Amino acid sequence: MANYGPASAFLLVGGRNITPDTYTLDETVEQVTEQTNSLGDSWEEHLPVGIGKVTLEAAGGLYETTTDRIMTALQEQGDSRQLVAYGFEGATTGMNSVQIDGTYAATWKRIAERNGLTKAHAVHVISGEYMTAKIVHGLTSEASSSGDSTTASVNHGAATTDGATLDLHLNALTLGGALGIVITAIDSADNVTFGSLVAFTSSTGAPFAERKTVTGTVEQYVAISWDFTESTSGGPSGHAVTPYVSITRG
Amino acid sequence: MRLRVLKAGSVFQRDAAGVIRVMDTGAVIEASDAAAKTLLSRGLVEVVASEPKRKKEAD
Repeated sequence: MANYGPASAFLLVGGRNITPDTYTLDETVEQVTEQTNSLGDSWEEHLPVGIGKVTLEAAGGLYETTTDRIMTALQEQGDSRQLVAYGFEGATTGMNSVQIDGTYAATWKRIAERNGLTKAHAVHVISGEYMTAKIVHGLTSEASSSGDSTTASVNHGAATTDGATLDLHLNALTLGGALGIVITAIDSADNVTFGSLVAFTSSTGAPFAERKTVTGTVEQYVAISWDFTESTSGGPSGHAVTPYVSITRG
Repeated sequence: MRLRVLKAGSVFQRDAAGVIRVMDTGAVIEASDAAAKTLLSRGLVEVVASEPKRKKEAD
């Protein structure tokens, strides 16, 4: 058992890290139920309809107009489809998180106060499957031209034949002369030999987010590799990438 | 199982020092049966046929 505090919570929307703009992150997962007691019953009865509902409330953060922070992530979002990732155990490799892909209606508030800074408040009713996930690569920067995270591969205990859903949130990217970067999920049966599982679309800028779904076997150990595409004038320099990748199996 | 890599950058293997190497097309690797099974099913490698044993010369 472990306890977690505010330093462990994070929120990514469409590749944007709006954790620094959020003071409270409130997740509610509920089952829609229908009242089923009839005449003659003395007590209320309810049965689940089989439909889940997720509400996410990001509250109290400072109103921030910097590009790709809370305003562009939430105010301009409306009902556009965005990938959302959040967690309460830290945005680090191997930890549990949530990944969601669905249109959502946002209630967006800007709150000016007589004795305080202007705050922002957003409530999202998320339309989409609620997926608990494992973080395959946390919010850390990688500066090598190519590399992988196999030294910190995520061990699921066993392989699955039910496929997986993987989300990429590219939070920061400096190409440094490269043409783009390709992030690939890789897996292994023995943590020694890894093979390509699925490649995300080559990216040329951040923020960027993408979901990939694979069918069939996903091996016990999962990691990522990254590769900056070199230009004809040579390898990149001063390049860096912060790729957040999570996986839900089955 | 001995395997030949068919697609550069799609197969990674840890060497004796524990360092992961990215394999180029044509590289031959030794992999466990469990690892080989998935790599073969994804078409990333092919099995390297063992060399035929020399025929004993007739006396």
